Amino acid sequence: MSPGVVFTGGILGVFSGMTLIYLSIKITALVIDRFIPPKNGKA
Amino acid sequence: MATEVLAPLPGKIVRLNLEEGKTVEEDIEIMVIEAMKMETSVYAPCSGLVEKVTKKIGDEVEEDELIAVIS
Amino acid sequence: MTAPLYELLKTTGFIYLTPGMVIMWCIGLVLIYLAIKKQYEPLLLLPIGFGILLANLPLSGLMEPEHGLLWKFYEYGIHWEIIPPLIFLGIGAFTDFGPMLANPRLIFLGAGAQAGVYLTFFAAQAMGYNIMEAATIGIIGGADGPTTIFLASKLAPQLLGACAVAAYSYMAMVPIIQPPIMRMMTTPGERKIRMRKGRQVSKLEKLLFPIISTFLIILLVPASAPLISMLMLGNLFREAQVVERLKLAAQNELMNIVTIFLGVPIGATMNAQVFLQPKVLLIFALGLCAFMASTITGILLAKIMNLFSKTKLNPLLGAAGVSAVPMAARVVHKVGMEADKKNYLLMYAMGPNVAGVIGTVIAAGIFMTLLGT
Repeated sequence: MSPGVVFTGGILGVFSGMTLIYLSIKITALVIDRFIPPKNGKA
Repeated sequence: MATEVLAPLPGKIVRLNLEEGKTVEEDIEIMVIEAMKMETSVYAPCSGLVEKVTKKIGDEVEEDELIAVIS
Repeated sequence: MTAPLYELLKTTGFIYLTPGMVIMWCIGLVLIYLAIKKQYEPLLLLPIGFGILLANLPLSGLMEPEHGLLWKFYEYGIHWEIIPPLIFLGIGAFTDFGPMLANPRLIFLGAGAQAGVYLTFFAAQAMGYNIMEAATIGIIGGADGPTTIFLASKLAPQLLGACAVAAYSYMAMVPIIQPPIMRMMTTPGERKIRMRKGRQVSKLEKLLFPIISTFLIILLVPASAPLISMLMLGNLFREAQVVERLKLAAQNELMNIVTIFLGVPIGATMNAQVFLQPKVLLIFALGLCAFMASTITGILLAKIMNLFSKTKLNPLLGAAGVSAVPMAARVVHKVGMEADKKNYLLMYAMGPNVAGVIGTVIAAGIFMTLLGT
C-alpha cells in the first residue's frame, strides 16, 4: 500500500465516516421532532 | 427595562456577587460558574438595580436558566 | 581473595549498569516529577515513569518473555488488546455527546483535525520511517492516548512507549501548544464570533446515538470495532439511566484498575537499548508537529465551512477537534474569552472535542485496514 493511497484513503475515510454520523444525527433529530411530541407542552 | 441574567453555560455557581436591592455596573464580574473543572466568570449585561436573585452559591444551573433580574 | 567477591558481585545488578540505563532513570524521574509536581496527566505519567525505572534495572527479568511480571501485563493487557478498549468503555461512560448532537455540523471539525494525523503520517514516512511506524506516529496528532497505544501495539510495538509518552505529555501541554497557533490562525474579529444556540437535545436522541453510530462506524470501518464498540457501550450505560452501577464501575473502579495495568508496562517497554535511538527520540518532535498540524487543520476547516455557511462558526472551535478531552475545549474557551469576555465557547467546543475522539478512532481503524496486520 503506497503512502499516497493511505493518505487520501484515510482523509476520505474519516470524512465519510463523520458525514455518516452527521446525517444519522440529523435524521434522528428530524424523525423525533416529527413523530414524538415533546412531553412538557412546548419545547 | 428589566434585563434577565441567564446562565451562559451549564455548571455550578461557585461565586455570586449579586444582592437584591444593590446596584451593579455593566461588565463587572457578577458570578463564577464552574463547568468542566474550570471556573468561568460571568459579567453583568448592563448597569442597574438587582431586582431579583433566584440562585445561590452551590446551585447547579442549566444553560439559559434564570439567575437574576437587573432593572 | 577477590575472585569469590567478584562472583558475589556478579549476582547483583550493579556491574551490569550502563550509562543508557542511568539516562533512562533520569527520564523516568522527570516523568514522575512532571506527574506529581506539575500534575501532567498524573494517572498515566506516574506509573509510566515508574515503569521506565523498573525496565532499566538489570537482571530483574520483569520484562522477560513468558516469565516477567510486567511482560505478562503487557502481553495480556496491551498486546491482547484488552486494556485500551476497556479505557474506552470508561471514556464512553464519562462522555456527554449532547453538545455534539445539539450542533451536528461541529462534527466536521472533529474530522478536520484528523487531517493533521495524515499530514504527519506523510511527513514521517518521507523521513524514512516504515509505513507502519509512520501511521503510529501520525495518530499521536489525534491526541488520544488509548487509540495511540492500540494502534502502536498492532503496527509498531517497538515505538509504543515513545508514542504513548509523547501523546500523553503533549495532551497535558495542550494549553501551552495550542493558544499561540490559534491566535496566529485567526483574526480578533473571528475570535469574537459568538455561537448560536443549538437545538434542544432529547433524552431519546442521546440514547439512540451510541446505538446508531456503532452500527454505522463498524459497518464502514470494521477494524475500529474494538474501540468504538466499547466507547459506545459505555455511553449507552450512561444514557440508559437504568444501569447506574455499571456506569459507575466503568467510570471508576474498572477505569482505575486498567489504568494501573496500562501505565506500568508501557513504561517498562522503554529500556535503554530500544528507547535511546535517534529514530525513537525524533518521535517527540514529530508528535509535537502532529499536534500543531491537527490544530491548524481543524481551524482551517472551520474557516472553510464559514465560506459556505450563513451562520458563522467561531474558527477557534476547530482547535478543539483534537480529542484531548476536555483540555482542548477549555483552551478554546479561554482563548475565546481573551477576545471577548462574554463569549462562552466551552459547551460548543465540547462538540468537536468529543467528535474528535470518534474521528481519531476511525482514523486508526483506517490505518489498520489499509496497512493490514
